[in-house]
Amino acid sequence: MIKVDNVEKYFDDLKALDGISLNVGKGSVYGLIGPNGAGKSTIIKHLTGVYKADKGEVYINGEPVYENPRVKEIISYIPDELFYINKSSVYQMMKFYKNVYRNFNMERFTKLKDVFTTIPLNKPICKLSKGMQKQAAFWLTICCNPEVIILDEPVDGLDPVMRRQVWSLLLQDVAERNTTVLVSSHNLRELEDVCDAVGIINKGKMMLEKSLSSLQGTVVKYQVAYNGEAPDLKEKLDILHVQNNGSVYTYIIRGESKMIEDVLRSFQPLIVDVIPLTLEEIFIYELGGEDYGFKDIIL
Amino acid sequence: MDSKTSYYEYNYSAPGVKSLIINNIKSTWPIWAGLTFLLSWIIPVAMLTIGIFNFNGSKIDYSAPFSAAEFLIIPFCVMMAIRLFGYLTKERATNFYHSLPYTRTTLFVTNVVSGYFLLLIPLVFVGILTTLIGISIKENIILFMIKWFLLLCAECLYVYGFTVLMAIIFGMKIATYVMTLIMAFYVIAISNIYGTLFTNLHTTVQNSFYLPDGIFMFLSPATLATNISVDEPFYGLIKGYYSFENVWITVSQEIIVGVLMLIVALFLYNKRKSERSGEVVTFNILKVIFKWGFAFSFGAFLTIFLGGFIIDNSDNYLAVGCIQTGLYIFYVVLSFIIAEMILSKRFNVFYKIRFEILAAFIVSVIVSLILIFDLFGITGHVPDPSKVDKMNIDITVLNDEYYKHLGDGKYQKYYYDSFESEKEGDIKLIEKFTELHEFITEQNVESHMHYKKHNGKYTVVSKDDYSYSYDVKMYITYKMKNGSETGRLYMVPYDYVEDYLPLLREGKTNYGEY
Repeated sequence: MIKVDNVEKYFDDLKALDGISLNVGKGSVYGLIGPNGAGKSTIIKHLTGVYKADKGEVYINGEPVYENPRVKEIISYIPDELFYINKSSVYQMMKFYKNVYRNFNMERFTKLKDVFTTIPLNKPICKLSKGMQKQAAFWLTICCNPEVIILDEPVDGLDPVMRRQVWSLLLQDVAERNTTVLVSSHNLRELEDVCDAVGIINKGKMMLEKSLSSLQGTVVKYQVAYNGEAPDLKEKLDILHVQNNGSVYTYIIRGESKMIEDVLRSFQPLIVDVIPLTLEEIFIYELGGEDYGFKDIIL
Repeated sequence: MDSKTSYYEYNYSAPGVKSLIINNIKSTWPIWAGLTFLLSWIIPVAMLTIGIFNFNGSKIDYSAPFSAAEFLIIPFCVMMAIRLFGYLTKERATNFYHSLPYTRTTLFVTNVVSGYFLLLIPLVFVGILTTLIGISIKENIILFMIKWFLLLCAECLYVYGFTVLMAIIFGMKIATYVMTLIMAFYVIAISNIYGTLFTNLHTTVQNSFYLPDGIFMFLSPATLATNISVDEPFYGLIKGYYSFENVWITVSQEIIVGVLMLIVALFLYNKRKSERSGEVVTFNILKVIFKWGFAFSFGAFLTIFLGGFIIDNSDNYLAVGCIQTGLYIFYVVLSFIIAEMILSKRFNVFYKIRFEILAAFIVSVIVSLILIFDLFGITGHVPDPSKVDKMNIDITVLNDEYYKHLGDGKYQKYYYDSFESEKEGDIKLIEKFTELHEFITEQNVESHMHYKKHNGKYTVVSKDDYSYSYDVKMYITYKMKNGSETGRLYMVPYDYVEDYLPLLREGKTNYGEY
């Protein structure tokens, strides 16, 4: 559904995107994660047709996005910094979107009034709180009935109840209409619950792009207790991180879990436990090799 | 498979275009409503009021408000363009509009066309109202109104097109306003500034570009209240300024240039990167032009206007020239640094552009040398009479309090006169006055003695008391056969022009004394 093919983007001398590629299947929820300044918002602006790639191309439904109204009409985009025309109210913006997006669903808009009960219809959106503005954006976006929804830090500013509500609406849309969602967020805990696949980018490059389940299978966390001194595993395993507490060692290891377990058991430890790895841990330890990992610094 | 035709139909009949137009009408209402009110107030309302209260029944000259309208629509055209393309100055707004399902061409054309038609609404409204009032007070106004309407439509397109171009090039609202103003008067401003600088370096010569006094009349529609009686109220406008020939030439020129500027603006808009929003200049190549253009225009401006506080009315022209040149080089370099500060929006730029500063210094020294030594012979250049189509000489004797010494104890009072003469087709007269021009350029007069009559005795006026270095202000304007115009202003002693004054009344002359 979404294909980014070897895109490069320069801001004067700064190479913001360095040959980045990604693929998002139809009807999936794709999480785009990366440290600050990695190029997430830049790639999103390419996906929405705002930026033109200096090299490479961005396709949606097999067609280039830039300067292509036919493709842009099936995309809805919620940026991290919202914009509404000339102090428009939700009602005025609804009328605007209704004319701009042919698939705009008025019936849905009316139904969703019951969800977004706190949002006044006729008050200028710019005078609402940040969270309410975000809610208004979701309300209008969902009603456009897009085939692709692109979200940049979507739930930032929403209260926990509204976060759940919004995600529920989006996932309902994915289930019912086979909508494709690409979401960029720093809230990895939330992404873990909703994403089918993730892409980790850093310094404008795609470091890792996998389905969440296979990603969790390629980096594993083991807790091992030894009877005596711990063996040196560095030459046998790709250890991303190690931490010990007495005789108990916690390893984050990249590789196939069966092979790792066999190696660990060959040293006859007292205990070998596999602990589920969170997306946040994968993010931290994958980026550790890129000089971005969490550092145990005591000041 | 869609045909190419269907693609364009898709773009230009996109349902969202209607939304954009409605949005444009709503967001610009203060501009078109304000213009409607203002034009209604100064033309039909004033016309009706004066027509009704014209108790003595004489014919009235209505020219001032119509001319005023030409001037007053300019800021509205500028505001309309900047309002409609203002989204390009904010990244968030730019991202919003560029993510909508339009091509940039659709967005541009919709904004340009809707904005232009919104500017025409007040003109149509006021035009119809004025025509009806004119007919009701028995004035023959229809032909005039058609010409007036066409002229204003063309002028609107010209100014609007120009500002749209500026809005595409400059990514900050304030920069767009300022640069529209600067660029609009660029030629006049720069020629005036460098002309003045030249005058200070070459004491007897001023290259000047001057505006006709009449332009200031546009500022005040109140002149209408003077209730000037004329034979035919619209005679002057129809037969003179608004002659059919002039109307069509002006209308055609403004439409062609306006459309060309919009085409360039569209081309640049398609090339403009969204991420440049908020930058002062949005195209890297134009940043260089901005920087150097700003340095030399603002540098010359500072030299003239701030230099005036430093240089007093010294007769030591060498000293004045040296100070002026030094100031010029300093201000050009300073302006270059200021231009970089504006572009990069920070103060600490010196180290980054140290080599460019050096280049600006060298270029400013070269320009100074060109000005001082008149390397291109600007001051000494007198046009070939055979290439002159028309020549206008305007001579004003500045002072009637002083006398010149004729010898043998005889003194003659200077005339207090002004002569304006347009020599057309009379090659002998044109040759005669180009001779005078040549003579003036060859002289190097540094002082001139003046006498004042007091209690029957003539005494020399000291330089401290005498404010004029020379007695006669002389404008010479050539209109060349190739269509170009050259203007010169000289301050010369009365003796130089005395013999030529009678000639001003010869040939096809259109002179005035006042």
